[in-house]
Amino acid sequence: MTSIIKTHDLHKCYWVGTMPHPALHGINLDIKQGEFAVLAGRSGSGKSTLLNIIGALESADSGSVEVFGQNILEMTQDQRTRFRLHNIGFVFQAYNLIRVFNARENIAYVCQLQGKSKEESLEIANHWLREVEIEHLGYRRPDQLSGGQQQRVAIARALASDPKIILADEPTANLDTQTGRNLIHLMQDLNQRPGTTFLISSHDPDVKEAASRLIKLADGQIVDEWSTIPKTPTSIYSDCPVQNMPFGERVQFKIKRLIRWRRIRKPSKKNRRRS
Amino acid sequence: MADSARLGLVTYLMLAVRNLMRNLMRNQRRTTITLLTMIFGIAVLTLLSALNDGWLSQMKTNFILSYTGHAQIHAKGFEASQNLRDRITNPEEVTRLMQSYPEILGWTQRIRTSGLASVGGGSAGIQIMATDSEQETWVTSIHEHVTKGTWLRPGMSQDLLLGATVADTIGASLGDRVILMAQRPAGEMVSEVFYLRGILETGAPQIDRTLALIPLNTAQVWLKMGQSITDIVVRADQHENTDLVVHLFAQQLSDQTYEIMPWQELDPMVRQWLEFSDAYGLVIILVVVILVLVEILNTMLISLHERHKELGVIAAIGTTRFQIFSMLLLEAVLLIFIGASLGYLAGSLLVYSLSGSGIDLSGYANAFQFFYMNPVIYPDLTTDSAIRILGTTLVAAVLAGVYPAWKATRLSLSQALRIQ
Repeated sequence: MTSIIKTHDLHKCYWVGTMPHPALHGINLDIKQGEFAVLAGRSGSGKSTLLNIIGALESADSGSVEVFGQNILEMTQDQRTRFRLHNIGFVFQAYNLIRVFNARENIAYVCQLQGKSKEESLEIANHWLREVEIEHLGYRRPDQLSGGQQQRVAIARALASDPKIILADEPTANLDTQTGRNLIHLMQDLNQRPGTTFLISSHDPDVKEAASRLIKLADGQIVDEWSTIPKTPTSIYSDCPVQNMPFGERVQFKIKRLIRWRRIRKPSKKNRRRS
Repeated sequence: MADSARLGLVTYLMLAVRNLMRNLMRNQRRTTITLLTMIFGIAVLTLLSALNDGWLSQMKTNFILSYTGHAQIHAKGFEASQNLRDRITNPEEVTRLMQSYPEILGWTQRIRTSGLASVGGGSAGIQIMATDSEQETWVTSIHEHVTKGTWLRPGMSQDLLLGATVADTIGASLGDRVILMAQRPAGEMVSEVFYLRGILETGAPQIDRTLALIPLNTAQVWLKMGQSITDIVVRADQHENTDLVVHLFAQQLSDQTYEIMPWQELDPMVRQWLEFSDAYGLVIILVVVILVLVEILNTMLISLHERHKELGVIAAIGTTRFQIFSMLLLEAVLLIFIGASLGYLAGSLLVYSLSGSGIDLSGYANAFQFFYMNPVIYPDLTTDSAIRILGTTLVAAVLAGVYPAWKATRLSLSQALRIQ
């Protein structure tokens, strides 16, 4: 498969006053076309920073980021904006829909930015609303939609500009488990379309399980990385990547999952007091 | 990208209008205060401007019509020398031009010189003005200021009208025999007897204190001037045509022989007062507009702070900095446009309500008359002032919008998107 995102020795450091806070340490990454790649890691591991840099929302201190062979770090701000408009779709954790527009207009806005007529843009919006199965909610404004519905609109908006890459930053973090799973199912379905690559940062185990490639970050470095055969939407819950792990890791993973499950079912005393 | 910019404009306009409406509704108390401030500011500005224009217009009209006319033609150097040697010897050359200009409503010929008036034991320095009793009424309204007695009567060669103050000074009463003394062009001093037929009270001290009005024909004979005169006073059909009339005469008459002066040049004090009033009006506009500008700037900056994230989102999905800049600028202009329109409407209603009765300042009548003003000021809403107020407000709107709009283009996208 063709590489569409390549980072080389990427460094990024934030400064709070005179205190440096390193975010990325020499990230080398190669994402192939059609992958459903997930960036995993704790808070502060650099997932969002890496996603922002790849999405031309932020610049790096050193290194290079090539998307479709173009080094986006060398672009001017307006060139980056145009690059984002035509090549990258974004899905954010907090949905980030424009509150004054209804769902249809939110999607059509991106098409209009691309120079399409209003009619054509609305037609595209209707198409994507159908694809994400909320066509009947097209005239509702974001504050009249549930979180899951808003995220579906956000995905439709991301896809409406016909991008080659979708970057999603914690897309299921604000959703309940079932809605999150449905959304993953939807993204996987959309990933099957030729050429649409998903790069997702997430804590969510369901997202990680759905990944065709999992990249684990810790302290701004890639510490683990593995690939599986891309899953079909029907197999994501049955065909767990755990089965591909070596025996020792598999046992360790299952014990951890059990502990996590117990925590969800039965909160600790400390948590009970808080609640 | 040209297509993108063109088609996108409709979207930005839509977004700007919707954002504006949403922002107006989002914080209703703030919106109400901002709009009330603007409406009050622009309404007061409109009223002050109308009052200023009203009294300036009255003052201009009173000045022009009470004495000077819109323009005067003299022999070259007369205005500076005030000497009868600098006189127009062939007034026919000038007066025949009058017929061909429709902008000229009337004209009159005068002889103006200084002299002395005495009656009984009293005497005073005077400005003798000899004029044609009928022609003068076409040009000025001085005949309307006769408070006692009558205006110059046709065929009555020894009629004299005196300013009220000068009549008081020398102790002259109607019917009294008054001796005027003046100098002929050749330099000899001569005197003549006149009979006081009227007292003039224009309210302008410089006229009431010095003026002595006699018939033109009498003066020409008395001062041995033949058909010569010193002034040709011209009245234009409207104030705005003064410059045109001056220009027309300047084209036809030799500047070696004549001097053509618009009313502004005939009394430097009045001209300076009018210029000062114009400047004063501008200062009022600037002060009010600066206050409005600061208010709007404050509102826009707070609004920008509240919409930090939203702007980050639209930038992230492909809106360029220029597009964001123009969208916010448009929003500021729309906000000020609404406030300014309502304010101007409120101000116009105030002006309309006062236009019938005016503002009565008769308690200060003496002070106002000094400046050729009427004791009742009628506000006058002119197109010029509307353009001045709305134009300045528009400039203020652009200024108030530029900084927040520029600031919006400097947003850090990653920070904006992280805001919860």
